[in-house]
Amino acid sequence: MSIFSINIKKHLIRILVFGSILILWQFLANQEIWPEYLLPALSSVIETMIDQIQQGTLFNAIIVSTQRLLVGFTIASSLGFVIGMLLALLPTADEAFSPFILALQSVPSVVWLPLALLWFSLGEQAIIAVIILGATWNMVSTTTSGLKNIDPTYLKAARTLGASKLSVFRKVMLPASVPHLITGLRFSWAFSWRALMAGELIGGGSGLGQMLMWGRDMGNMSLVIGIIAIIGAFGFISDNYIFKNIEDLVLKRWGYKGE
Amino acid sequence: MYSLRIENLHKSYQKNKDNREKVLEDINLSVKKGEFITLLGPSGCGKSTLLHILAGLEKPQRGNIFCKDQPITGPDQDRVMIMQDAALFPWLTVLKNVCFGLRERGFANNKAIKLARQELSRVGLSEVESSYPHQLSGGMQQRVALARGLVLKPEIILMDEPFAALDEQTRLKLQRELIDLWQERNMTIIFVTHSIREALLLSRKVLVMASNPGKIKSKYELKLSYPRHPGNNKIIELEEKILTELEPSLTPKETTVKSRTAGGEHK
Repeated sequence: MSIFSINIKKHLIRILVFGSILILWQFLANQEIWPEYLLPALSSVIETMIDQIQQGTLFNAIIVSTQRLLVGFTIASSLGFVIGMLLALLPTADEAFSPFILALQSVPSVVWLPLALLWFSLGEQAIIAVIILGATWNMVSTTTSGLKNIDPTYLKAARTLGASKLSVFRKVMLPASVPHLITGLRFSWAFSWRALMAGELIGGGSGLGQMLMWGRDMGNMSLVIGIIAIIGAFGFISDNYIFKNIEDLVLKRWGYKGE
Repeated sequence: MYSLRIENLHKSYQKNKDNREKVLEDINLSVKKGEFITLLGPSGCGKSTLLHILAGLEKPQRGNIFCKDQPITGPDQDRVMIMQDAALFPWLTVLKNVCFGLRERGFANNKAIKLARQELSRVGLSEVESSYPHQLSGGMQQRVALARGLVLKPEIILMDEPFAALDEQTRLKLQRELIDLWQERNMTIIFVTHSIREALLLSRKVLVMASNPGKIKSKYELKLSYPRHPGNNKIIELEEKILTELEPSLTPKETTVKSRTAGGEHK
């Protein structure tokens, strides 16, 4: 069997399983085993979401959230890259700080909320702060390990070809660590997305997270379920299709993965 | 004037707190321009370390090394090193790889590309100039690595088991090509290998090294013409001789091992 038909088969199975779950959900909801406010039927979720699309609120929420995500992600990954680079260049600093960076990395982003609210009060800044606090540390350690784990033969080759220290860093260490950095960015994006949702649940404005809380406050379970599905789909698509493809491209070009 | 002069070179590594391991002991060597020398020895005899010191990538504890009567203090384009894995930069095309050293020397991009193209066509690699390293076979990669070094017109080429990872046929082919290049251009080659046959097929002078600590044990001069054949009587005879000479150093003497471990345990 060719790879192509294996792929088709894989996708077919996924669609079948996913479809059956949806049908089962609708069927069980129609039997009215549980009250509608706990878990509404698929049809009413779809109805609510179509309504939100027509009103423009859903589209608006996605735009608002994406903007915040891009701002937070850009700051967090640049900051993480710069700190990570400094740590890679200064081994003593790396030894001193790396345990703290690891500790900060294991703090769930929602934990930063009280701190961010105290510092910036309710609003955009608090949400961005949560993203930065949640997504920077992982980027720091991927950058540091990426720069420290470069194949030493590249560095030797560059030096015998007459490269200065600056050239070795700029022309060899940085490009050699790109595959690592891309993976770092991918994680940073995923962390940013999770942190954003945590921040939006409390902060103001009109993002996806706020729409979710608004649905809860109004007792609109269909909206809550619909938004959860969109949050999941957004994260899944950006990670598995966009970032994965960029990563594959880089790995191929750098020769770490067959074509 | 010698291409290279080594006087009383010593090198040791800090093994643990009070224990130093001698890697190279009292190495003396003079290399004239255009010589082809192999450093032959078992792994751990310090031949690769010696090459790294000559490249300026490592510093000796004691001793003097000169390239064209100038003391060696660090890496220089006059002493290019070719490593076992070609170490081509995977994010650059073949052409850009060959340009690397030229750009570091300060050549403008256009000039560097022109010189790199000339070098690539001289070694018959023109058609792969826009390929990336991973698209090439191991033998091709090593050719590109050689071109990347040769384009700088170095005084000495230092080769650290460059063909060890290649298959037999490719190795023989590249050995021939290396000899052609060496005869064509007046360059000095110091070639590290653990293969007795390779040393005999390639070089005019074979320096046999012993380990613990690494030192030059004996020298062989070989005035055979090129291309040399492995079946040549002289080569077979020398191969036998060097092999019997090397065998004791492959299994270190019991007494030396004991005294060294005992020394470590006192601390």
